[in-house]
Amino acid sequence: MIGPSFPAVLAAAQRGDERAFALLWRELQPAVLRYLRVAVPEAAEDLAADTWVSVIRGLARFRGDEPGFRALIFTAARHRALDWRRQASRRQTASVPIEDLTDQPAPDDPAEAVLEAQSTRAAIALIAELPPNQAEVVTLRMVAGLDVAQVARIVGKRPGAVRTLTHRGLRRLAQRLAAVEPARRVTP
Amino acid sequence: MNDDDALPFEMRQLLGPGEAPPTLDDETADRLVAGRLDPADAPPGYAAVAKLVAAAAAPATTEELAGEPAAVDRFAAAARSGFPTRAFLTRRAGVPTRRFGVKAAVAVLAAVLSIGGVAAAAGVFPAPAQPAADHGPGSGTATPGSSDAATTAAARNRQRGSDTATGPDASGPAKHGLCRAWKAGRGKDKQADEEKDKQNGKQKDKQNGKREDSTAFRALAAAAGGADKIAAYCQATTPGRSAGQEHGQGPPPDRGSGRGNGEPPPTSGS
Repeated sequence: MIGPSFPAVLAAAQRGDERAFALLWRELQPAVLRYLRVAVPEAAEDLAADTWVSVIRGLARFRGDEPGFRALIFTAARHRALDWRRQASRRQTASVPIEDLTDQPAPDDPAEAVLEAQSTRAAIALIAELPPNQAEVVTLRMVAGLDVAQVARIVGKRPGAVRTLTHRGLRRLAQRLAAVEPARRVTP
Repeated sequence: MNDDDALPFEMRQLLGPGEAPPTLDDETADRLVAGRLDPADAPPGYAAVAKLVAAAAAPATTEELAGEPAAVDRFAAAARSGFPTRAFLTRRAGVPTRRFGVKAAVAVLAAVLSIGGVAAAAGVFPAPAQPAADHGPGSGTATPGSSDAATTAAARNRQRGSDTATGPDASGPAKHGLCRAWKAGRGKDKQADEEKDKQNGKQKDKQNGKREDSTAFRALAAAAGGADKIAAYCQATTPGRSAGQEHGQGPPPDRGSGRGNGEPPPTSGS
């Protein structure tokens, strides 16, 4: 969170101040990228850039607080992801071989990488294994830091549905991690 | 309870029976996803998830922030080619507002100067901002005075006549330069002529009051909250500080020079 200075930073960015924009970008880009790596792993970088292009385009018109701005960005990111998938299905190309979907050296199991190395990429890869609805909701809450109401608005579901998807996703992640866990003691 | 939530068959084989953790209550789930649940306090089966949350929401990596210069370039290009001036002025024409009055402008300027420079240097920012702030100086995004450098670069472009931008933004970065030009114009109309020449040169004889024709003037008026408020707006520009920064700057960031108002690079994935 940028915090109390957010209104000033936003106003400066709306006037074209590059440093203010850079602040916003640094604050949100990592989460946007992680969200898109869950949603559309094969095009996350490009779609993140597209997301910012659309945010920049609408920046001058935005009125709201920091949570509202976060919601705006993830709404834009989600639209980019949906567009991409729509067009991909229209093209009907199995565009990228599955092995190329991650640019990290594939660990034996992302679950192990999460537990052993606290790897962010592995954590994202693990969340991406969830069914898409669960993966999206879990990412928006966990990575984007949005609450149930915000996520419900962004994904167009009722809050109760968002809660249910969150619970299911968490439970499945717990099961998934438990599969590599038995011998390993989890210590804080 | 294992209906549509059922694991793929293969995975269930791996897990074996009886390992399904309980479903969390809402409050615990909220704390867990927000990273406010210590693995040690997590319900049975969820300690590993708490670790996953920590990893998933960890501070930014340098790899994730590598695109900053390109992103800021796109922003700058968009700003030069009409953002936010166009939308801004259109809106203002219809809806007079004092949103960007003198006080707000000063507050923003001061806030951005201190936030962008001093605060980042002092490590006040949340962790995600730090890596970029650390490697920021090369791109000039985190150093005080870089906005003045950008202003100067923009002014240079204008003087060269190489910049065909529809109008400068009288926002933070350009404010000093525009105010300087405006003030100088009151006396000698010299710098203002440079602005005018690139327009159409039809306004030679008038005072600054006549410079509504100039895009620079319009932008300044917009930022000030009205043509009649420019004096106060520019007055409010802390003179000592800006003077010091005007002369203490290094070379302008390369993104400010000669790029004209190029469109953002095509990044369409859509």
